[in-house]
Amino acid sequence: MPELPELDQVVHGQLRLAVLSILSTVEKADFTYLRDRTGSTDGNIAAHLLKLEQAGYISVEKTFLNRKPMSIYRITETGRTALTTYIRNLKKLLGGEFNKVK
Amino acid sequence: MNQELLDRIDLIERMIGEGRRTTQYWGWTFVLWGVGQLIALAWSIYSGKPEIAWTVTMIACGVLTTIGSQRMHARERAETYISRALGAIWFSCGISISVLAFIGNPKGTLTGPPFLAAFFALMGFANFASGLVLHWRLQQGLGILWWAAAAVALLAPVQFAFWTFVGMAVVGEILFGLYLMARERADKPHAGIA
Repeated sequence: MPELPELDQVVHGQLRLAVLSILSTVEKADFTYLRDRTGSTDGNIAAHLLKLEQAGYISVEKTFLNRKPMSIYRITETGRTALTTYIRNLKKLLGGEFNKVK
Repeated sequence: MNQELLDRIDLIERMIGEGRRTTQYWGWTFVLWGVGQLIALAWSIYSGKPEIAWTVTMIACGVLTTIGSQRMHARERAETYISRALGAIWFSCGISISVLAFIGNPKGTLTGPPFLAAFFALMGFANFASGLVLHWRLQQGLGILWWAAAAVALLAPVQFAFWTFVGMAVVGEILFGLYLMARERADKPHAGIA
């Protein structure tokens, strides 16, 4: 029997997974956009974004729009690979059930 | 455990859907340019000064498009590769048409049906390319319609080319733009801030 893969715990967190999934489809997104789309709060999402940034899965660019500070987030290549690997491992863990969902 | 993993898959699908729904609303530009062209056409016929009529109207449309798109960008909170690809197509098309219109037309090197044919062909290119990027058959069909109009402008009598221009401004720009705006309005409650 093949060994079951372990899931990357940084990606596995619900909010972090939501952020990575969104960022995988857009080129860049700002803090407000990510907060609103995930239905999170400022403090909660900030902590998770920091964790993803520290893991090297996302990058942040601090800028200003109409003199207001703005944080723009992008998924990194490492983050994209981590998300792909996570989905592949999910598929292995779920086996036939994954296909039922699809 | 399995339920938790299935929930994660559901979450990934929902969030990818959210990201893909990040669209910009451009229907108004089709309406603006279509109406602008008809105004310029009517003005040039009645005033007998087509250079002034077309220059003023097209510059006004260009300024309004720039202001509108800047406001959209300011409101926009995310950018997708698709929106950038579409922007590149339409910006390049706009520059190409401007070069032909503002240099070829006043100089008299590209006027009448040949100019209209070039304009129609460029509109066909931009619409068809956008349709391919979006996997949207309707816009691909519109691109083909613009190319057919280009063929008409090259082959049919001058009078026919004129009416083709009017018809394409109404169908290919104003009506298509209104249809886009109606779709965008229906999508807005789900699209949030995008």
